[in-house]
Amino acid sequence: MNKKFLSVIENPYRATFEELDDAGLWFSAAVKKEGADMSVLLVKGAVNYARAEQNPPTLSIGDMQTDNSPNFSKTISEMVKNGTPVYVCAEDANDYGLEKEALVAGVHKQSRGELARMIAGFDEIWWW
Amino acid sequence: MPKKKTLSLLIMDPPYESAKLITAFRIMHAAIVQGHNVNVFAFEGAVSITMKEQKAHANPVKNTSVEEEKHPTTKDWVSSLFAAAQKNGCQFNWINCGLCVDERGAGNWIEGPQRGSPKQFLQWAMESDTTITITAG
Repeated sequence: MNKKFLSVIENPYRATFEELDDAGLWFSAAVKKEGADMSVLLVKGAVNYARAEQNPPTLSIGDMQTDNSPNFSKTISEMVKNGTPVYVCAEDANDYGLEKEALVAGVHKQSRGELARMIAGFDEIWWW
Repeated sequence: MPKKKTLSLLIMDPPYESAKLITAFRIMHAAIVQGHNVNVFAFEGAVSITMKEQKAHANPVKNTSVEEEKHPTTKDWVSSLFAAAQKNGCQFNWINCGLCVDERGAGNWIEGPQRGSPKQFLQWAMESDTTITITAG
């Protein structure tokens, strides 16, 4: 039986400058590459990952400059292009000021009231 | 005797930072002593849990010696879980995420854990009776 997996990303920007990625998104993309039936739901502050226009800063620490900080609009866009359904909680997006902002193309808004039914459709939930 | 089941866990917390790691250990222990198989995928900071160089220490605030303090190390708890699995006739597998090990320099670990990637966790998730992710946040 092929299981359906849902990664719920709730805690964003955890060591993302060091890892150049979000651990949960990265892991989800990695198992997708191995053939997993994987979907992603962004909730709470993680909805910001789906913002269409993002301009990550250059990080300067001492003499070191890091100019390849992660651009999550690209990360999410690639996930969508690779066939990973990506959802954001609509009310969380509004709470974080995204109601009038464009989201990455292909990202679906899902109302909070429908999340339980949506989640019930998956075999496993990985909560990040 | 309950039917033998397989539980897979993904953990992320490094040692000595969060209550979640002890929760994870308790879940592993509970499953193993009941004879169930347990798989653990250590991701990100959790790869430091099995580092061989961990050492107990004295406590100058409590004025205890190393022997008196009896400070536990997470590597010893993991070794103990391997031993418990053998005693209870079940499997205990521990994989440290290889890339996470490399970036942390955490490659010198105790006997038992193996190096791996998300591919192994996916395989476990597909084959296990249930999977738990205990992630940092």
